[in-house]
This record gives sequence, C-alpha cells and structure tokens, in this order.
Amino acid sequence: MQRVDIAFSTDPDDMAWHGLIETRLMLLARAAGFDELEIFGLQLALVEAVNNIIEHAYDLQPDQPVAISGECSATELLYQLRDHGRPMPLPLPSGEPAATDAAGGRGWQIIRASFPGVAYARHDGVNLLTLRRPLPAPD
Amino acid sequence: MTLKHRQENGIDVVTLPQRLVMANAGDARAQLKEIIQSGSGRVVVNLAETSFMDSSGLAVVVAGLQTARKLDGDLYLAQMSDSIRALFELTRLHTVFQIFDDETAAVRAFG
Repeated sequence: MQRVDIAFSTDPDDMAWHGLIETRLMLLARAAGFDELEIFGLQLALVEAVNNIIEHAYDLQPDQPVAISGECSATELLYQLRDHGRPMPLPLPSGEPAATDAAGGRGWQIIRASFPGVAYARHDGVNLLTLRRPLPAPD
Repeated sequence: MTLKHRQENGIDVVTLPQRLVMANAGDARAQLKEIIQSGSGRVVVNLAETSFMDSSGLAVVVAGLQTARKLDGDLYLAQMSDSIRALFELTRLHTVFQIFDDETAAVRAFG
C-alpha cells in the first residue's frame, strides 16, 4: 500500500495547491499504470472537488484547511478529501451532463467520470469525501 | 494575468493562459468579454498554451461564445491539446464549438 498526504490552506485567488495535486497525488496514479489522459482526468476531478470545497464549503473564505490523502492498493486508487466547512447538501449530484449552453454545473460530471466510487460523510464537523477508482487492467 | 490578444483581418485572436481555472477564470472571463464587445464579435480562441482547464475555464469560453453570438458573431477554438479536447468531449461542448487544428484555419473559416 502506497500513501501520500497533502494539506494546504484555501486562497481563492491562488492555484499553488494545483501543483501539490499534480506532483504529489498523481505520483500514485502514475505508479499504478494509468495513462496520461487518465491522469489528466483524475487530476481534474480532484481539482473540481477542491473547487467545491473552496466555493461551497468555505464560501470562498481564505486560510481554511483542506487535507487530501491518497492511497493505492492492489485493486484501487483512493483519495480522501477533508475540510471543516459547511456540510455538503445531499444527495450528492448525479453528474448528469449540464446543458451545453449552461455557464456552469459540470464539476460533478467531471468528478464522476474519473471516479466511479464516490462517498460522503461528516463526522465531528469534518466533511470527508472519498473518491475511488479501480486500477487499470495489467497489459 | 493579461490575455494575449491581436487582430487579424478584423478577427480577434485571443490566446488563453497555460492554466485556466477557478483562481483566474473570473479575470479571464471579464477580459474576453471586453475584447469581444470591443470588436466585430468574430473571435478565435487559441488554446495552444493551455495545458490545464477546469469547469470554471470551460465557463469562460462558453460565456465568450454567448457574447460573440449576441453580436451576430461566433467564437472558434483552435489548437487544443488531446487532454483539453477530451474535456470538451466529456462535457459535450465539442458539439457547440467549431474546433480547428490550427489558428490559421480558424481565422480563414470566418471568410
């Protein structure tokens, strides 16, 4: 089992945390054998999940904590995102495609396209979003 | 962040940044809108330098398209990478935009 942890504080005008996702969390995906297009999708899905935290859980407030852990087992890639913001409204969005002329509403479609397993829980004021992706079949 | 912009035969050619994401999308959206409204409404958006774009970035080009069409113009996309193209296909936006492999072809398509 490989594991990587990152943590950062929110700043809606900053994108430094993108680098942590790209360089640290995607190490697991590369080691697991995902191709570059799949890695782009996984990275994008994590960015969308963090965008949701910044925009909706924290209402764009700066200096709020976000932590992401990544684990790769023999069968799956798993990321868990933790924040202390407002609870997510349930049920989680299905990820149905947005209307093509809609300005927004594509984030969950992107998340679910890369992570077929999505679960949410809240414990002691902490939001926990779990994203799972089976590993690619060996060549 | 300032969008790269030039005019060619009355067509606005705009190059998007290397990353177009939530942190800079609002700024990019405002600049693109101003460029389009100051011109003919005929716009080519070059994505050659854009290696990463999230749903906020997609919203920037959708808003640009809507602004251009309100002026009876259009917004064409050019030179997107395979990964950005996959994002457009996933979100079905490839059915909304005319997408060209190179900028010259996109400019020429305006006739």
